[in-house]
Amino acid sequence: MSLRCYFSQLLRSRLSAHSNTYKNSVRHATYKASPFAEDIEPTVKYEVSKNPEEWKYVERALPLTIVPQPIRKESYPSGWKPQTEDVKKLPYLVQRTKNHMIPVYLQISQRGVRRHTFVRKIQGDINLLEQELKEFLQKESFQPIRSQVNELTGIIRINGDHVNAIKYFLEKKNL
Amino acid sequence: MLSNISKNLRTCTGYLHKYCSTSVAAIENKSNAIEPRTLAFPPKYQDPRQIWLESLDTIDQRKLALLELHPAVFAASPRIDVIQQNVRWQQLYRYVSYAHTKNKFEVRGGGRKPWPQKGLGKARHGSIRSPLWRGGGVIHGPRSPTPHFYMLPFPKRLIGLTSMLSVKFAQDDLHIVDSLELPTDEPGYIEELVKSRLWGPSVLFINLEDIMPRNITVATEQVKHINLMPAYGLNVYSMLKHNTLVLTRAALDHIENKLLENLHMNDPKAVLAKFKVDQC
Repeated sequence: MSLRCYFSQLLRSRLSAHSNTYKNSVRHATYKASPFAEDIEPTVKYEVSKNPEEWKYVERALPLTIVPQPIRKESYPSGWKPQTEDVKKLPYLVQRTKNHMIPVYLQISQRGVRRHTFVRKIQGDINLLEQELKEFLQKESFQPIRSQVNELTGIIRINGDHVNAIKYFLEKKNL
Repeated sequence: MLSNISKNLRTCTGYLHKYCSTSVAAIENKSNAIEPRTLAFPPKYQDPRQIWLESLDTIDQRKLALLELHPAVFAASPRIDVIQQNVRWQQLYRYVSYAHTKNKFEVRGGGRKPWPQKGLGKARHGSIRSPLWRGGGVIHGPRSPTPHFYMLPFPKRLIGLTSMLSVKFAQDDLHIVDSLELPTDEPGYIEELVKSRLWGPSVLFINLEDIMPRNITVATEQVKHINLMPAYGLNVYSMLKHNTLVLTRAALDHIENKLLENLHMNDPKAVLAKFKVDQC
């Protein structure tokens, strides 16, 4: 044990003799007053196992690094629907996000005045999807639907809040 | 395995006759030992892209097999705006401006009041080094050192890499080789190889490990436009700087898997958190 540690312990014992309140209040407020770092031996008894069968249970408890694929079912309690498997034949695809959700978002700006709906991750014939969405949304609207296509980024921007309508449209197409 | 390759070859025969001098039959015989790639996160909509596996054994291009590339990494939309942001970030994060000016208090002298406040009919002044004076201090001048460090958001760094790889692939500037082993350590060999294969003056070779084969290290040591880099050093700026990007097959697997894993990351909280200077 070093000299510094010895002195600090001596001081502590003196102080504890004076009053019990000092006993539990070791503050290590300065660098010099703090004790030296020591290797702490684990006090719990343990044994090392390299059994792959047991390791499965450890793996199960570890957090997932990659979003897992959903288990295919008839229906899900939340109402969420997976994308259809045979998408190859479709003229366009709205790819799901990595969390398997439909990438349709609402952007509110100009202090709540301007509402734009964004459909992202579109692959294939983006102009056809825009036409179909316009036809679908026009039925419920008095004004003509205004929209903008960004082919490079695969994004359609539509004026107004049509998030749920577009999600319904895409779900009906099993997208 | 072989049936898989030959199936791929049969589907792309139309392309092959256009571009390649080697006959398909010759390739089929040679490609016995070469395994086709299996893509992680198999693409649903886009077709996998195809690229030749080449070798650096001979100066003339020798096609060993046809490999598949993941479209999410090698056929992503070319976001040149994000590429520009990546390049700007790479130039700025290590740039420190040493431009420096002295303010009123740092310029020598000027402690004494030059003339009395009143009675002379002159303007009032307290110091000859005031910024109003010739030879005085500078207001809001550059102060040294000024770091320009910032972190580009993680998703933008990711899109930058996929965009740049896609651009290189689309422009036919991406090549895959089986390994970086050369038959000789003469610089003339690699220069002749690059020239005959029309790989552009500057070439970036990417290896999986940072310990490269001896011959290519010796051969390219004095050639400034042919550079070697480990897979963990791959970046947008270097890819843009070199005409051609050459990956080894192991490096291709590593880079593609790493990018796909990051594109499907479960909990991105750690990478999206604010960058701290002392973070390791």
